[in-house]
Amino acid sequence: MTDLTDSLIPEQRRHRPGQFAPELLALGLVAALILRPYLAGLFDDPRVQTWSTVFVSITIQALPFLILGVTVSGAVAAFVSPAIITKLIPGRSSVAVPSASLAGAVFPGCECGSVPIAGRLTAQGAAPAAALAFMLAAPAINPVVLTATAVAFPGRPDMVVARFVASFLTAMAVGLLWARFGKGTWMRLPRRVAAAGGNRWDVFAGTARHDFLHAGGWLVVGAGAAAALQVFVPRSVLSTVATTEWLAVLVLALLAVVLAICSEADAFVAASLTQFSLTARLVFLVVGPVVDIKLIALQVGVFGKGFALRFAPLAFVVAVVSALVIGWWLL
Amino acid sequence: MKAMDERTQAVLLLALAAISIRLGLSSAALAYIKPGLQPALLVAGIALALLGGHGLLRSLRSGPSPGGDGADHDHRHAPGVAWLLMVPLLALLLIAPPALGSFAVDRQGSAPPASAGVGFLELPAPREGAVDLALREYVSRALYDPGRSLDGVPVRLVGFATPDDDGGYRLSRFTVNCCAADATAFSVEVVGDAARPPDTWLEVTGRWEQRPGHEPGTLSDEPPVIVAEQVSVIPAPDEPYEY
Repeated sequence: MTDLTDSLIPEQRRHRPGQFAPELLALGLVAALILRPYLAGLFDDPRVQTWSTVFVSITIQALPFLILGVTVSGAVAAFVSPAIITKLIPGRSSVAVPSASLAGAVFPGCECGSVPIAGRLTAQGAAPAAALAFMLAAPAINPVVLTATAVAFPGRPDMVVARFVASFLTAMAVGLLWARFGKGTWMRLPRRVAAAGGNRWDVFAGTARHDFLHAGGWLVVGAGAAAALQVFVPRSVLSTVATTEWLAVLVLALLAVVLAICSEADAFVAASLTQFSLTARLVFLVVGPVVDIKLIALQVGVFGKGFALRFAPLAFVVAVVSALVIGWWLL
Repeated sequence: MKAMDERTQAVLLLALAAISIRLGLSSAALAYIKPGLQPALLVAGIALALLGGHGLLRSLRSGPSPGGDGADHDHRHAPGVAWLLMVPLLALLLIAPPALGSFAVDRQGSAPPASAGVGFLELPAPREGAVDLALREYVSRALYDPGRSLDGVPVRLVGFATPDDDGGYRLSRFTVNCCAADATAFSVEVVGDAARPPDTWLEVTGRWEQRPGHEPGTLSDEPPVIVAEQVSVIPAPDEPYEY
């Protein structure tokens, strides 16, 4: 939205009023530092403090992964030509989607980083279904996440296997469904960077900076919402629903969406939800890296609202079904 | 929200870089993340500083008002949503959120998190007459160790006070796997001490007492008990959480 309206405003008018924005911004930050002792009393409500602690920690924890993601996406934009991408990722989605899902297994990224990478891959000419399969697979089945799962569930290697299989199937199924039924117009693709004329490092830094500010802004939206839910809905409410299996599955699936825990940490949270059955917890682990409010916000930013509104429910349903089937089979 | 021009982006990135580097180096970060993530945060801060510095140089070289052709223009402006990155920045500068405390403990309810009743090792050797135990370790041994390894052993626990309705308090501490968003509270009911103000950090030396009606090794709705022999107020530790 903003991009559209902004590009309609003539160049000249846009720059004049905002000319001193950087100076004002810097001044504002200094003022915040100086005024802090006088303002501290305004924020001592425990709800405000707890919300900000959780909010800040989600943001800070995601920051290094986001930087890693935008560094890769900048490198893709600057150093990988569209021709190479179309050669590396085959056009036929029946081949491209499984190979992209498998590629996700070796990329030790967090979900926040894989969204901008998928956006950049698509912008550079990769088949959208393959980029999306990579986006879903990378945070769910990479070695770091699987190791964390093994540590969190000692003595239950079947949990690790179940997570890998269920998440891999989810990525493939969503990719193939998108290839079959998805429409190109649903996706507002990230803009292509014109490498011509510019220095490649300028393209690299420009893309990384742009993607960081874009995805970072949306990360803040998601982190704020997740923190609000954590602070305003007590965890004890959950244990009362754990006894009914179908309700437990539904509640854990929704919990994965609203808690928005990083995929590298969610296994520990799942392990601590001992009131719930293993299958319900598998649903939590498979849904979390695929759909959560922070990811939906990021996807709105990178691919547009029309995309996120269709993609999130699709991924949610596929992830729940896949986890239930695998859980029933393996656990 | 207005789109952000290149110089503003650069200033915002440099401010984020400064705060990431500071948190990467100082123990203030431990209220939010586990120590193992600090080096990653430091590297992220340096990368942000490079990106911001590059942007600043570029905008200085080309002047503040680009006439720019379409292709160039695309990447000179960041979308308005980028302004939201100011929110964590201002939260850190203005609120400086403290580590999670008794309010967050109460949000999680009083039932202790369940854990496996297996794999308890020998207790460590006592120091000055009592065994130092992490609060989480105490809770899981007290509730779930069928071998009753805590029976009669003097232990020393560190945590903060979470007042109860009946005038007593629980000694609480969070266990964090990654960041404060996944923190789980562990609490022990302290018997034999007067009321303490919320969030006071305490060192409690005492002995385990079995809660009537609870058999170690079975699930419990209530926190375990410690009978305090000595309680002293201590400064908040650098690492507010257990990992």
